[in-house]
Amino acid sequence: MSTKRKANDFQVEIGLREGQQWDAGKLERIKVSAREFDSKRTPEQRKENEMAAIRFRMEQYASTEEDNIEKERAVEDFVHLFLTTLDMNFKTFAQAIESSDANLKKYMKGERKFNEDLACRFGKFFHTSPLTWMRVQHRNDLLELSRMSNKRQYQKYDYKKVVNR
Amino acid sequence: MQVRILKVETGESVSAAIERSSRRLLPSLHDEGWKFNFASLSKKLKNASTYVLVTEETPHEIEGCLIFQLLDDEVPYGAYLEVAPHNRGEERKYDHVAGCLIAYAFQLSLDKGVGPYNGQLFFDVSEQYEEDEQKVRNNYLTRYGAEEVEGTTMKIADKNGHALITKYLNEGQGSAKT
Repeated sequence: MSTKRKANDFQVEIGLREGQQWDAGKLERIKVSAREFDSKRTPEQRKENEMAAIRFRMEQYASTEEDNIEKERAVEDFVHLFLTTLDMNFKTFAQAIESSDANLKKYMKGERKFNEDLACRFGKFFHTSPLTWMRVQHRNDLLELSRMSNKRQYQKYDYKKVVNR
Repeated sequence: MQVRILKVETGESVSAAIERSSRRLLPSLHDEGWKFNFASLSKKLKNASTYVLVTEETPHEIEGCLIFQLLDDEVPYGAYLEVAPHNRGEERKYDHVAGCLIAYAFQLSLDKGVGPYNGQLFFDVSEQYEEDEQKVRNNYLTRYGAEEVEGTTMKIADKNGHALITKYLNEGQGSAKT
């Protein structure tokens, strides 16, 4: 990519001068124009926007530290969001990624471990990064780990009890 | 969110992140070369959230700053956006800082915009001199797919916004390009 650009290319500041803001009339005019724009959107465009919003929420969730996660969201939850937006049932989805309804549900319910192969299939199908699917799973694994590590049953394990005996 | 920006000196793509700024020291008018007082604006504006772009290499140095607002609790608005002074001009350190922040603001419009306003990111370009203002507007029209709305107000919507996400954000998420 060329890095030779004109000085003007670097002027990108957004913002009204401090103290300025839209008045009520302008806000209303903008809202009217936005609603008019929306009324002309195709169903495909609406779907594309909703899909992009879900991708963003997935990425946000995968990037959030365990301590800051307000509500745990499983891989299954994001699949459900995508399928609802696409108006598609789970069986159709399972078949489309060359799996079966029953088999895929075992992964979704955690009876089988979500893996790289599924992340790649989900990634391609929903136009998302496979990495994001794995990171969601990883985030939930870490959440589970933090819950487990505080359990009393693990407190007895300590090398000092063995070494200093 | 993880993103990639371009180190101009070497041409290499470097890891960076766009983070919500809560405790971080934001640029103010005391910081040389910054036009907007982000420290003060982020406290004053209603329904606003502030984001900074930082690299993994220098996580304490802000490369660019964005304030996103939801006007009337529903209309997505890029209230303020500015790249750090060292990322402007021929001697700039990094490229793609503005692109990443604009694309991120559009994503926020998809996530937070309510009903018909979803996926429509409004913003204002306002410079002291008309000539400067026109240059900035042209940059948004030609480089970032914006369109004129009314007066100083512009917007980025739908396909043009998705193109920004593909160009500036997907690389940071692995092989998301489809």
